[in-house]
Amino acid sequence: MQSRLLAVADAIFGDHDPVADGARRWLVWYLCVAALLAAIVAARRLDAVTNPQFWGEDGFLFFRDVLTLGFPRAAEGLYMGFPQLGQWLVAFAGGLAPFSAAPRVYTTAAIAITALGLASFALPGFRHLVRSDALRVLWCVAAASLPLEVGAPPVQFGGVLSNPANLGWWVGIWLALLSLVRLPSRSGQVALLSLGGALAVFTTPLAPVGAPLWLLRAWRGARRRNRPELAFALTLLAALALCTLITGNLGANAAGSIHLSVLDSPRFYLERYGALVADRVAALALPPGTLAAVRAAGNRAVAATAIAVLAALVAFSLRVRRTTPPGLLAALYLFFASVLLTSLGRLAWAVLPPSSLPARYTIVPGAALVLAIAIALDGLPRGVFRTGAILGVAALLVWSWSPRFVTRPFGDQHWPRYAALLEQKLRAGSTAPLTIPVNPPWTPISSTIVRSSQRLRCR
Amino acid sequence: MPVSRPVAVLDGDQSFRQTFVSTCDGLDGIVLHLAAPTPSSRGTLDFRLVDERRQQTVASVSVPRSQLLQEAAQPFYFPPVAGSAGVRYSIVLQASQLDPAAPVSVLGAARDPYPDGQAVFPGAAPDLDASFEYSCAPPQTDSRR
Repeated sequence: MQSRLLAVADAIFGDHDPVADGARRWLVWYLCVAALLAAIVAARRLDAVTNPQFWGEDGFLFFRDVLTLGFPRAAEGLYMGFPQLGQWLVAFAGGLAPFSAAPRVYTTAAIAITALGLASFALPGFRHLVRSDALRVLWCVAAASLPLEVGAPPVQFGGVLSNPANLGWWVGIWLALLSLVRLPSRSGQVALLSLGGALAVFTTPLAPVGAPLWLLRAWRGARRRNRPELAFALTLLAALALCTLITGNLGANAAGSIHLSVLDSPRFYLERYGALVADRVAALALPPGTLAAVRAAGNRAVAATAIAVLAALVAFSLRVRRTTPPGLLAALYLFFASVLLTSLGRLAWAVLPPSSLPARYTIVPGAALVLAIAIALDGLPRGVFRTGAILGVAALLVWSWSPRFVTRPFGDQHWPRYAALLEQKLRAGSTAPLTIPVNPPWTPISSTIVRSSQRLRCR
Repeated sequence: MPVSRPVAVLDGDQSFRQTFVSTCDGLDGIVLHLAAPTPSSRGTLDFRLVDERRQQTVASVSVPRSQLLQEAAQPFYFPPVAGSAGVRYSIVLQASQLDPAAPVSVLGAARDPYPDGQAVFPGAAPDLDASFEYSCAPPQTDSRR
């Protein structure tokens, strides 16, 4: 039994052999893929580059609090019951720039972190899951192109890309990947990954999804007497334990005043979870018009679509090589678990129709499901059928996702003018109020900020 | 104060003045309702706060035309003015090389809605007032400075 479990763990996490190829070549490869992904993310909402602006919490929380309290004090508190550490670090960097350039630092950092995180899958550390280098890059491109549905409230979906406020969901994908990576042979590199993973735990509320995988890895590390791997897994588990200790419940259901509990009606919530899973699968496979028609036809139509997609995945899986199923199951686990954790963490959305789920909550499950598809395709025997299957799936996703590729640009709130006003106000030490409009419209920076914790910078 | 009409239209090097009496100490901000619908990057709008009794400028702010807010009231911030309570001031807006094709309107109302002061602009009726708000630093903030 234990040897079987060890074999499963080996298939999920890979072996420990060092990468034979040159590290420098892979670094160049990684940076090229990251640049491609950054271009994709930027192209989806070009105004993040041409006219960078704050989005929601970027302004009224991160920018304002770093400005007034300073980074250490601002970052020590919880927002929505969660530390948001990565977001605060971006805000710290933004605080070093002149006011007028702060949004550019925010959007650039968000795009870069998203691209670098997703591009990590192109590295050979994931060859045990997807052997084909090209297919791994295709997954990276797909993850950066994940369809963003309008959800509720509609104005919010554009903010999912290129903003620190929603960076946690993209970091969540990287943390999920990190849970599956074949660790490098050098202890220093493992230590760096451990540190990055620990930071990610304090940045994305979906970190607990990886916990079972970290436990399995820790067990394998102990069995194999692989100290770096054991330390890596224990670091992530310890970070999660610490984050849970600090937050209590990782910010679950922190926003609403309505008290909801799964225990009130377990069966109802189970059904809602099933509906949400089906809707997520259907939403990834179908273009908006068809998806709307299927949703209008009722839950059974959505479920039938989801079953058809999952059945196709199972059908592919029957032909895959022996080492593929554990990785495939791990990716599917990430999909189901991330939807479950999202449902539990935001019960209000579980009560509402699945189509109203805000786009930010669909990022990690979407990436996990596409990862499962990529693993299944890669596991097929090389030949015409495999090539045809890859091209067919790619064509299906392009057909389905292209209408949702470009997102709506933000309304121009003329940040540079308000940045000049804010600078003028702080220089004068004036207590007069200043309200800075920020997208979405109900999240202005309203304050009577008098003094900055930082030295004012001349433009 | 209500905003119902332009009380002055500034272009070129014209200036506008609105008098008022501050009711509080530590005057540190004035908000004027301006309309600048046509974008322009030419010229500046210079704001001055003048103590009428001493004929002394106590605060001044220069705003490039390109940085005027388009769809919001325009605030002018300056260091708190000690002893401002009961003092008559003039808000002076001085246009500097503004494009005549992209003028800046000062908005306000007729029928003297603000009896403690008046708008002064060539050709303006005597009962016009610009719409403005002012703010003063609270005493506790003052004491910390």
